[in-house]
Amino acid sequence: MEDRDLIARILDGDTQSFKLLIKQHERLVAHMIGRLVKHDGEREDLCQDVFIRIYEKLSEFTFQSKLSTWIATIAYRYAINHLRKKRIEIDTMEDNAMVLGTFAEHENPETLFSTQNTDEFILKLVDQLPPHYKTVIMLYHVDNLNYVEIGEITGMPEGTVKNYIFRGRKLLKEKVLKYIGKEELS
Amino acid sequence: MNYEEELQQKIEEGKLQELEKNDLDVRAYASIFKTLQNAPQYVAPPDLADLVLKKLPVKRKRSLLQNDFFWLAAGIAILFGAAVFIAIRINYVVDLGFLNGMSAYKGLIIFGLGFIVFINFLDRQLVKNNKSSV
Repeated sequence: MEDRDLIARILDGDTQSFKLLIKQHERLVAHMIGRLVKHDGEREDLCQDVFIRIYEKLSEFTFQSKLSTWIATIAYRYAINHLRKKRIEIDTMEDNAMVLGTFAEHENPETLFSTQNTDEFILKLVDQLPPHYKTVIMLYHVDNLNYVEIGEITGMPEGTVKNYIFRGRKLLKEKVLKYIGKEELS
Repeated sequence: MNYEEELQQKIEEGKLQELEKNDLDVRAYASIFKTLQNAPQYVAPPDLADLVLKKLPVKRKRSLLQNDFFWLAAGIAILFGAAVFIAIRINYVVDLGFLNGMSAYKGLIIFGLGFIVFINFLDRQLVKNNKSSV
């Protein structure tokens, strides 16, 4: 079913169509929420709240972007607002050098080395990246979104998205080289 | 394009053969790209759609109630505004009427109010006692 038809039906009050929309986009919303919010219970509640918000705002969707991008934008903002409410530090463009500096200097080899293998180690490092870096990297690599789509979702200029991805990967590489022996690198 | 950018771009494009495979940077980047592609993700609960649909009527009811409160508040505000507007238009002056004459008997009024409160207090106490004796 086309997005336009689906939305028209939902706006007519067809709850089964809304259920279909949830099924189609729950993976994307779960990814967005899951990579910013750590607590499982909160993740579940937030996923539900995001879809309720989508239901409330659906009449305002103007098809200027893809439906999935619009939904991901709502999920991203919801997660960021949740972090703000919880007073979890989110780096802004102005202070990201400082935040990245903290990431680069942060050394906790004991927790990092408790991981079983290189993959787990790298994923732990990704998890420690500042939220914006982590989000853009995962959207790019896992959800296969392009720079423009990531920019729409996060509200960052395309250049900033590219820069965050590049710098995030470079930081990861530096950490990997610092803590993993040559033999362990495939 | 600097060295790091070139490395990242070539690995992303799958042109590993163009790079020095024993280079540690190359191997580290290759590992990172491979891991990211297979990164496990948080999966929503299987009954998410049902849970959301269950929450919708409650949410709708709440927003309808919020709407009602909004219109009630708006109605009161409009009424108050209209009263103020009319009072200004007709140059209404607040007059306490008979209360002006009563101001000479402040002590009597205070005594009267106190007496009523005292009688009520006594009444309650007596009613309580009677109930317990029954």
